Amino acid sequence: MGKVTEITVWTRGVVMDKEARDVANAFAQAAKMEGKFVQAFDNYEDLPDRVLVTTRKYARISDEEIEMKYLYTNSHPDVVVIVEPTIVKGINVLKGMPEGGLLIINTNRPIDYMLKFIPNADVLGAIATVDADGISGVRTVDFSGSEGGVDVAGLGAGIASPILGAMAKVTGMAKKENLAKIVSDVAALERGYKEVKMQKFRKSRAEYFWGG
Amino acid sequence: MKTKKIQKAKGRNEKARNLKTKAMNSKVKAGGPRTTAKGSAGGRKESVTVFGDVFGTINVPKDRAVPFGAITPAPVKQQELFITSNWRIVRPVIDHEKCTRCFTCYIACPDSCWSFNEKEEQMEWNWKFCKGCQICINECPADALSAAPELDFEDGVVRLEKPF
Repeated sequence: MGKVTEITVWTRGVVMDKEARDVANAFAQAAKMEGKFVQAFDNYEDLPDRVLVTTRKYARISDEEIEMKYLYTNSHPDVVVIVEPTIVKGINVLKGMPEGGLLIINTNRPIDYMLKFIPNADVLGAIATVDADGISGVRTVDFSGSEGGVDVAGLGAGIASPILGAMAKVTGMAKKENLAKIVSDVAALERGYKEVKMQKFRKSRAEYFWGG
Repeated sequence: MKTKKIQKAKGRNEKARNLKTKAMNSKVKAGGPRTTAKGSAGGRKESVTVFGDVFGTINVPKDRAVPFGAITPAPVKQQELFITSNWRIVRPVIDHEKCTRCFTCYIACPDSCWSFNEKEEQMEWNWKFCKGCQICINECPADALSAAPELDFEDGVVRLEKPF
């Protein structure tokens, strides 16, 4: 088994649950269209059915077949996506991250301000912010996509599309063109791709190349 | 006659009382509230008495004792293991000059996060358990409370290792 890139998406229960699920699912699906091996799943650990509770969604991408079938959490996430920025105050989001990892936050605040709340930010290889709330301005409270139901709102409705655009640019693991075939809000995807801000940190031992 | 009757009755009462105390004493002897278990119980010396006065006594070694609520130690005033402040996106900010001390927020808060500070004579907010539901802001009749984004403040950081 080759290198597996683990992606963890932090979100809040019920009110932003669908967005995070779309981020994990759509990004893995786009990577699959490029011939990669992927996994994407909701959590089994947290209790997501409580309003505003912090919860996680996961995705894994690899060039070879992924053998970690029965592990339901990403213990060493290379990429951490935060759908709601206040989570950095309440949770140690960089727990288990290998040196040189990437953190993407949906916020309109400057990067330096967000770094104040992350005292263990020295493991980061790069940090990126995208103002997804400002771009789409919609938060979908929708249960239709969960529990095997039919997704009426469409994959990537609301703030998921700009975050996916930012992820496509910063991680370079899935192409924007492939994501555009999947998500319903292509204009927001484009804007997220363009408007993402990024700050890199110099790492000697890191093997990542964030930002292409 | 009367006096004899009374004496008899007294005697009966005393008998009954004696029986009762005897029974209680024997109970106490059988398994009364002890603070230390005998050495035979795995060599453990410390033990906890559970419901000793009401249902009889069970001697549980201290490391096997199950606290009230079965999972965590019993809350005295507030439970530090159940901090839920990382659920909060907005926090209520109070204007003490507008506040009339009507205690509506104290009554309305589902998590009892508002209390009255008698020294400073003003309402006090408990940041550890406020989930930012904004019920107090909606209920306040004096408009003394307002919602502010949690990220504007640098305090109130918990950074838990796992979501609760």
